[in-house]
Amino acid sequence: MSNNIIKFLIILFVVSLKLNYAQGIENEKNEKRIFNFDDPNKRNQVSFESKAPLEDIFGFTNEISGKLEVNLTDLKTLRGEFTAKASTLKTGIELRDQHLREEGWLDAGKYPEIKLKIKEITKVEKLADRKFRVFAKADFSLKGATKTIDVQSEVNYLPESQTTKSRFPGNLLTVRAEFKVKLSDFGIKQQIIGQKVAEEVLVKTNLVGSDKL
Amino acid sequence: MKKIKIILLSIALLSSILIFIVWANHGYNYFTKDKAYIEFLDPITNLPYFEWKDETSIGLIDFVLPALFIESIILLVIYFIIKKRRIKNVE
Repeated sequence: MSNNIIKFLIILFVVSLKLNYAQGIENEKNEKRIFNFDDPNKRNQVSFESKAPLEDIFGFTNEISGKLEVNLTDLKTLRGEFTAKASTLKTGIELRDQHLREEGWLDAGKYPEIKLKIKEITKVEKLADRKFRVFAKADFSLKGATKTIDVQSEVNYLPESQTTKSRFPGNLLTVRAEFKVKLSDFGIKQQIIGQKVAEEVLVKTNLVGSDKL
Repeated sequence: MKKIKIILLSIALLSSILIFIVWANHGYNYFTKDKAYIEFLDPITNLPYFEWKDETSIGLIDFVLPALFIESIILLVIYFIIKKRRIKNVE
């Protein structure tokens, strides 16, 4: 009887270990790898959407740089940082872009960089063999202020092949993330916020990095 | 003649006020339409990719408001020219 209980406990322990064990790609080398996101062709993008009662604004930039460090067998080890140039954000109207760069908004002259630094991976869900939904806590820096925000992303690992080589050499890692940015948290307080500009702006990233860039 | 002048002047003033209110409240969208963008899907990575379209589409409002504005200014100029001539004639 006691043997059965011990067996049951061992199985339970093994199952729980399996459940809590690192979520990652099987048959990959158990080592840290660095993926570089400085695309020489400027195909990486960060976009934002502001949906307010009087106006919807969509904008993006291709001026992104960054690195991710990850052990692919355990995506909870994922860490890294991305930087976008504030002055390169375009919204489809030149005058609005100019206003966006001004002191009352992003103050791009004084704070030229917008940063996202991944601090902690809180949850990893496997979607396919090499595709994962990753939930993270990250430090977002805008206009001189830094706040910890929740980021949800889809991370896809593409081993080097004839197809991927046409984009970059090396193994590729794609990151499609989204998070919300509350403008008042970063000292952006304007009368038109809530009417023509949303209080919370949705930011999305479409990034591809390579371990051979 | 006087009635017509008053009507023209009223139209001009009202148009100007209307244009100012619309401009002040709606900003960019009514005088300048957002440049359109195209969304592609990268066949290798399956990630979306955005590109601005070269040409901008112009809505009806982009013609109507500037036209009203120009019209109101023309009406005001005509009114003041007529008024000036009248004063000269009287003199």
